[in-house]
Amino acid sequence: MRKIFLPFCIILSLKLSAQFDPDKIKLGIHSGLSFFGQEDLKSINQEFKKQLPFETEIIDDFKPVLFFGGYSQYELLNRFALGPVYEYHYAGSRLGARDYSGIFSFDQYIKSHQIGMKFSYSLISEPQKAFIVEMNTGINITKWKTDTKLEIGEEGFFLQQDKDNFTGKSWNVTPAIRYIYKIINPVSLFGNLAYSFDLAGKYIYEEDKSLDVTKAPHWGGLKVSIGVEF
Amino acid sequence: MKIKLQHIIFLTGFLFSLYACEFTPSEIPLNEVKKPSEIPPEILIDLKPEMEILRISGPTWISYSVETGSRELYNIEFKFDNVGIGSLYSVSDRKFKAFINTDTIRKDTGMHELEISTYTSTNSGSIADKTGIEQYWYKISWPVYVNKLAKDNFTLNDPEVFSDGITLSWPEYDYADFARYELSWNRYPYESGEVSISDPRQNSYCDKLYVEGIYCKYTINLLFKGEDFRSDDASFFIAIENPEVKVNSDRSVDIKWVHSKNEAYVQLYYIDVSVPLYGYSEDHEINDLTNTTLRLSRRIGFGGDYKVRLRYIPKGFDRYYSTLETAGGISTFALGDSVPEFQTASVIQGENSLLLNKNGTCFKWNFLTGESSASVTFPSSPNVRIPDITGSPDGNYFGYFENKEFVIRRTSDLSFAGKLDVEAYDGSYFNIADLSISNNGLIATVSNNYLRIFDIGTGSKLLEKYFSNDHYLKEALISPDGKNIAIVANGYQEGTNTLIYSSIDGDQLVEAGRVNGVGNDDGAVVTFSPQADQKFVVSHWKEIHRYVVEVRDSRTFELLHTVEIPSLFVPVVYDFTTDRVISRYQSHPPEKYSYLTDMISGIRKKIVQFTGKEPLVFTEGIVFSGNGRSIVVDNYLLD
Repeated sequence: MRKIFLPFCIILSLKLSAQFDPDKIKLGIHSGLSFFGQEDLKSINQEFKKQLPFETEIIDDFKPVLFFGGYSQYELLNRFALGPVYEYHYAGSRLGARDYSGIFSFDQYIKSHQIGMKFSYSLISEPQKAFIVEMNTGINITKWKTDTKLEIGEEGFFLQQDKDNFTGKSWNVTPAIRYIYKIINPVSLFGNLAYSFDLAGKYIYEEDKSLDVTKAPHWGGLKVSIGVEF
Repeated sequence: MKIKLQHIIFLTGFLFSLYACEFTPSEIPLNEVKKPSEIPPEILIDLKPEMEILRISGPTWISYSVETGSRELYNIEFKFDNVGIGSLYSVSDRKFKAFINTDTIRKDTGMHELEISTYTSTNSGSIADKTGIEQYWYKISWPVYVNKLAKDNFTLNDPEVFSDGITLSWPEYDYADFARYELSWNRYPYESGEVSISDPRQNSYCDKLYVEGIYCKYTINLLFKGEDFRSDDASFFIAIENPEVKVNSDRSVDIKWVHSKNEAYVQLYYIDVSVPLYGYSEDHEINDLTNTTLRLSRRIGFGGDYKVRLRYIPKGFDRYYSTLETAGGISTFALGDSVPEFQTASVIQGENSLLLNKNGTCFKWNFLTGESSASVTFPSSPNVRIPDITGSPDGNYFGYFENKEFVIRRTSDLSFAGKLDVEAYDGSYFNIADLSISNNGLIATVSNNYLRIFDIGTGSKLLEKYFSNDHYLKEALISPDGKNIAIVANGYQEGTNTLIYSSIDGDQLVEAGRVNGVGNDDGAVVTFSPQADQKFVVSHWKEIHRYVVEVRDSRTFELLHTVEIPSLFVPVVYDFTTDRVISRYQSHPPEKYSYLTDMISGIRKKIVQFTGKEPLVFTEGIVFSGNGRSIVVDNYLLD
């Protein structure tokens, strides 16, 4: 893969430098909802809940959260454009209980920076509108932390808190379709429907890197977004 | 292009602002859980040993059990004087044992405190309850008394006699490490037993099975929890009350005794009579316990002490009753009137008195008035194998050995008459086989086949004669006037004892006659009369065990009178005042009577049985026995 990708990039850069036209650069920002399942992390909540001696409730459980992103593309060929893309995803969960005696919570925080390349091809290209198929691919840089806290009595009569941090990387491949409608030159609105595949993830536990992490965040799932392109 | 650049800057800034976005968890809703009561519910705690004040003398285990119902038991803490006890062991989930080691806690004697804390769940269902942070805390303070010396003072007190039995007592050991008392008894050889007492406050026990007379050993063991123990014992007996003995005028004997204080455990009364030599012994088993009197089957004899022994035979004793060792219950009795006891005695002529010696103390005793004179006491010389004192025939002198010398005293006033070396000792070895004193102070000795005669007046040796080896000298009796001597010698060839009677002529002996068969039995009479009577009595075998008593003239050895004595009777004492001799039956089985023989008339009469080996003196018709009794023989004729 590396042997093919590197010569391709060199050729592409040479071509771009030779034929660069600033009007062919497109910039876009978008935001939407991602529907990542995070089944591993949800199962952690379930297991934790079972192990606790008191009744708890899963209050938040990785519900869809807004994500944000941006990209730039250069129309390298007719109807074909490519460029870097960035998306920021985060989510979390809370397992907890609270009564007169105190409060217990088990929180998971995940966030990911997806950096990659966006390849797009316009199936329909008209002056006012376009319909594009895309293929985004890149790396997910993920941070995952858990925060367990038990506080009994007033003024912290008994307080116990544990925080654990994980980091990980994985590859994503995201096919998508996009519909663009030009409002006023050069501003267009677009809607995007994509599905991410999270591949070859590798996570480590910061406090003990030798630990084998068997359950981890997965950034695979449906993404729906709208955005503005210039 | 400018627009695009602005767009890029805007886009980059927008994306960086996103970086701070993070998941914000929702508020946790409040669960309505009821607070537990501030007053803890009751729990049941069982502490052992059951003592309001825990008393400790040594290393001690404490048992703690708790019943908390549905509430979970979280923790138990033991603190001794606010210091935690590390040795806490779980027996089950509700029972624990704590070990208080007095060796390590080094607490002084006195009061201390053991604090026991119990922690349980509240069962409120709250987070704090479920995580064990919310707890009920129960605290017990147990006063502790420490006395490490308690077990060192554990002894069995002297048994005490009460109406209901023998009470054994010991110091109360009411301490936590108490396991039990074990009181055992051994009434050798027939019975032993043991009781185990688990109440530490029961520090006495009444032995209701004890019967008087039994030697009993009581042992008390104090056993602690563990393997340690203390022990003490005491030997005990109650002497049986001595029975009353009444010797009747007809020589019958009545015995009377008292009941045992614990007659419920008496099997029978056992009475045995030990008798002097040649007497009749007898024993009786009295099964009717209501009967406390007995008349002996046989009448008693004279001359020795009888002993009656009463035993309470306890139930369960099935051996020979005579083998049961008992204490007390012994009464001594004898026939005759009471007189002073003596070991040697001689008649003092003309004074109606006897010179008596007992244990080295000599005194005169008037047998008509019962009066005693002053006494003289002499230390015994080593290894003397003849009677302690020797008196002259008329009783005017007596002598004894003191510091290896022979001391002579006058009987009249017990005054010192002289002393001399009669060559009695070869180093520390006492050589003298026999010694006699004449009325005029001559001393005849027999030593290593030498006959020697000394004069106490001059202190000189008058005669020394060695007898050839065909005779072994045994006795030498010098006559009252010192002119004759009777020597008893064993003839090797003849195989019998021969009495050689000689007159003393200067340093020579002139034999006047001989008698064979002399001295075959202990106590057979060979004696000189007082000087005034001029008689010499010798008894000897005519045939085997058949004696002849001869009265001879002490000056010429002329035979004056002779009588024969029935077979197996031995003439043992002679009365020169009445010329009568008493012969004692000295064989077995014993005979019921003895003989009194008149040497002049030859008339022989049966008299009371003479028993024992006590020394006898016969004068004026009265026989005095060394056991402190006397009889007038004419009052005890049987025919």
